[in-house]
Amino acid sequence: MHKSRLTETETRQTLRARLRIGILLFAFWLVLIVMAAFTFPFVEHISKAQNVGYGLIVGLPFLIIMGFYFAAAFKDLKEASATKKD
Amino acid sequence: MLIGNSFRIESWLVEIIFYLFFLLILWEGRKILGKEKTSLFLWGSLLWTLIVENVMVINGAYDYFAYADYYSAGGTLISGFSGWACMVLFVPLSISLGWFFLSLPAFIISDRLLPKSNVWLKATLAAVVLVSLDMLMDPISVVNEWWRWAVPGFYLRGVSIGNYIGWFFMLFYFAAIYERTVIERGSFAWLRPVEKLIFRRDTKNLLGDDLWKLRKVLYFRTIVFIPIMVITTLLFAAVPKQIGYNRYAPFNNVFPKKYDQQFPVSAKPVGSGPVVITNDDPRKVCGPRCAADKLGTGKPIGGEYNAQK
Repeated sequence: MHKSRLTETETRQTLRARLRIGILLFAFWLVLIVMAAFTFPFVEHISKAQNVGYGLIVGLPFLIIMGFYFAAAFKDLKEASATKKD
Repeated sequence: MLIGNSFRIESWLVEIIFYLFFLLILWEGRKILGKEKTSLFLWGSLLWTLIVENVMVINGAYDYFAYADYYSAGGTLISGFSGWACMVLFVPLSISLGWFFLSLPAFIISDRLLPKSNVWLKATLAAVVLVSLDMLMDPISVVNEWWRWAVPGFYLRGVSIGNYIGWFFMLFYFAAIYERTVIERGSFAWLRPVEKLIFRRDTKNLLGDDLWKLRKVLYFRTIVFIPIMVITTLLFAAVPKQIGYNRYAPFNNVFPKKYDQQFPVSAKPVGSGPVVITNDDPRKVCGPRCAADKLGTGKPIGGEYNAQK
């Protein structure tokens, strides 16, 4: 299982918290995308659809990294569940 | 508030969202890092961001006072109210807490994805996550006037490129300082002689330090790294500024730089010849107040929006 220097002992509780903190960050990104879809067109934009398209393009590094993170977090949780480490 | 068919996200709504996410991420962060380490991250990041942001505002790069012209009671402006619930000098507290709740998960994510890498590589990944998020948040903030850019430079979607470079180095340095000090309990070799003079001991190994001693070292390093971060940002920001100079920020910052006072209608730096940005110029920022004017739904209070006097 993954060992981090951030915590002395990695339990299922901390692993769940790791997953939830990722979900929260992703939720914030979703809030921003929704805001972009409803608010004024950005500077140099003429429509709100452009806002969303722009958000998806610039958010690509974030989305890719989050994808890897969620995969790792789920894997950690699965392994911890297998060893029943609370 | 609806203006035309667009929704203006006002400062009070931003604050509610920011405070809510701050509490949720603080809660989860404490479960992962523990109370003490999360507390160090929080106070360190507040110190870090509040100093940097206040310096930038005072220097005229941007400001947070657009909403001071909006909120009124009984038909008159609420005197002295900036539009934000709590200000620390010239910066809303929610903005600094916002930096915390984005940085802490970015730091935890980079630690999970690069567990055995050195601090600088981890810090780079965390900073990439943060900048990628900010590249969506900042254009929204510009059209909703959560903050107003007023610094000359190269702009992308109404936001100075220097802002993104600054965001990158903000977390790059802070994550490195935090990891080296609080997680590794180590030091920066070049800083050790200075720390020996100040703390009267060798700070190479902080493993035996209690929280109070560790806190002092973290805060000291945070303050020492601020000028380093600012200089690095200015150096890197100079590159896009030279490539393309398309300044079109709102020019009504309450702390105008000398350049603004000297060349208020110029879109180019000194020596390149002044260019007047007319109202119909597509480069000119047209925010919600501008839209409100066009629709005849009300004039901005306290001066023209985007006015280039």
